Amino acid sequence: MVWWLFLLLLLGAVVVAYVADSWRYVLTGAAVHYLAVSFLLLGEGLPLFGVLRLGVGVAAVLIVYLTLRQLAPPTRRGPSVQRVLRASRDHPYRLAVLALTVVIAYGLAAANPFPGVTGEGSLAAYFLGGSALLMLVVGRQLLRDGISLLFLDSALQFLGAAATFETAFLPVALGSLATPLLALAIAFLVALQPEAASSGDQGR
Amino acid sequence: MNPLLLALVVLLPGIGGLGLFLLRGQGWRRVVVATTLVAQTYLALILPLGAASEILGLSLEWSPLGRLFLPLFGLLTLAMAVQGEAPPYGPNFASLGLFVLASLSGLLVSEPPVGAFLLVTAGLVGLFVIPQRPKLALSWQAAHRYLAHTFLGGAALVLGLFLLTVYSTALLGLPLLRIGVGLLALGFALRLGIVPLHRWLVEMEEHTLSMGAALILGLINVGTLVFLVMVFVEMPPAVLDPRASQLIAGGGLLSIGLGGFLGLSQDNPHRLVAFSTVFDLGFILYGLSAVTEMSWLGALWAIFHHSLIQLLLHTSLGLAEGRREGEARVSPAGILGFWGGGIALAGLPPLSPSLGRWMILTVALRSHWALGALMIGASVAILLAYLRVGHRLFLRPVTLSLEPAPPAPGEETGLGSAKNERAPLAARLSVGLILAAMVALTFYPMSHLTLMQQAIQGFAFPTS
Repeated sequence: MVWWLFLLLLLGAVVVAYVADSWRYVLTGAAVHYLAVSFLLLGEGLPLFGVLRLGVGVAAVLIVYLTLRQLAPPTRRGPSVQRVLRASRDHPYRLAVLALTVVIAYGLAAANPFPGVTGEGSLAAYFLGGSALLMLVVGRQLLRDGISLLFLDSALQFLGAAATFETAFLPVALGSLATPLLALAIAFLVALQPEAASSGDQGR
Repeated sequence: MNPLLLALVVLLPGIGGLGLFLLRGQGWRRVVVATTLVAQTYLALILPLGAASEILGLSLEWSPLGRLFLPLFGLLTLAMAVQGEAPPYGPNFASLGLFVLASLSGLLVSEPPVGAFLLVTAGLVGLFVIPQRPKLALSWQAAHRYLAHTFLGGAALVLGLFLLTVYSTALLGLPLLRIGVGLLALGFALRLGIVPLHRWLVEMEEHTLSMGAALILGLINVGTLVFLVMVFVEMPPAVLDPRASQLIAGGGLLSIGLGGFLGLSQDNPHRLVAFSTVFDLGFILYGLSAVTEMSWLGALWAIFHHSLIQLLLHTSLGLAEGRREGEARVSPAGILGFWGGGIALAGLPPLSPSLGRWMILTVALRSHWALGALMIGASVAILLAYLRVGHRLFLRPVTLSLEPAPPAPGEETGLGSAKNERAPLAARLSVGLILAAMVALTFYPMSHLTLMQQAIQGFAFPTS
């Protein structure tokens, strides 16, 4: 029962991250997704890895949040931040893609669970990885693409920690370094995006 | 031998990179870079082969590949750091180089699953050198594409290795194992820029400053190739599965053909370098897919020289970037480096890449004459392309036709960002040293070949 609560939390977080038009909600979704993944790792009997994932996730979200806040101070919503995440009208389309991912992930987890990982853990990994890949294919905005990459990273890190081939702490911790670095790369590109969009060499 | 020395090999460049962030004085920064790289190279040379240690469950082992490639990576990082000291590279270029080196050092001493994560890390660090001010929109787009490709490639590698580790060789026929092999192939193709997934490489090369592109193609991509060899040696199903080897050979041959013949049609030197890089990668992949001792030695030799060729070509392009519009002066180091790179890529003596090229060509000709004909034809095309573009680039006054959209009179040449009236001494020195090293290795290749033989010793070749 508790498993399903964690999975629902994860589903809700991913839906919010992909459907919301405000970057603050998108990042909230990303943060909650890290919480859900940590709970799932706790459920797999890996509390240390759960704490590590939460810490790394908080750092990653914080990096992107601080960058976006600099682009759009709370008192002045400048035009720059609108370039980072434009409002779109394809919510039903995105929801349909996510619903499709849930069905596919459920089928895959039932038929081919990852070895060494529980069925629920496999479902979470398939869902996170699948939704990230599908959204990367349909997405055209850097911030959402970045969030997709973070979700894909989460799925891989979850598998790396939960499966048999990496049971020691240091290898997983080393692998986790990729998460804040990925967030830093996304923040770096997001910060340059307004300047890049307004510079004159576009389309040359 | 203290096992912590092995950990120090990885930690040194990381600590050096962090130190550079704190230091602002150029003199001190040079001292830190030089000390770090000298100390790491010294360790790489004195550590006994096979030395191993385990720290909190992380197994580290010193292999012949480490001894062969770590000093090379160190030298490359040094050359890039010195050339990237001046604007427009920015003060953090050397730090980024050291962080990449730290990731690659970790990759060389750890097991493949950990190595895959370190490769992702190195790829992500490489992203920071792509966006640059003179052509920000285009380089930003290139960086965006690079990020997606490098991360997706890394993800495919991690997942593929996961499946290959979990399923043993005895279960070769299982679909999930085949999926694992397929994911590995996809991951390497995405990460390296193999045809038809080469678009990021061409875009990145075209819109990134020379030393930035050299960092990605000469260090990170070569690290990826070394990792590919490590995976093959430790996980034979990844290459012994007939479908896998056919896939790799197909990608390699496509890259040789398309890279070579598309290279011939390029006027932009950066695009030529990009396509010739794809062409060279094709030879390496074909050599690995043939799975004979000779072809693997040829591939390893080619991987080693891929790094040197990238530095040589990008240093030459850097010298071209220093020329201003209308300047007619011949740049001897530039033209030597550019044409030397072309000769090296075409596999012609007296430069040492010819040894590896001939080994791979021999294996291909034994397989089918048409494969050899394709390789020779593409090599001739690359040589002609380099002679033509090199002539335009260095022996004629800088013209506006080098780039599709010319800059305003008196501004940059269009080849990135012009910065120096005189070509830096370090760049000229690099060109001379690399060419001299290539000639020396032609006549004295045995020490390197012995290390390469040791690196693949444990692999049971099906045909031998």
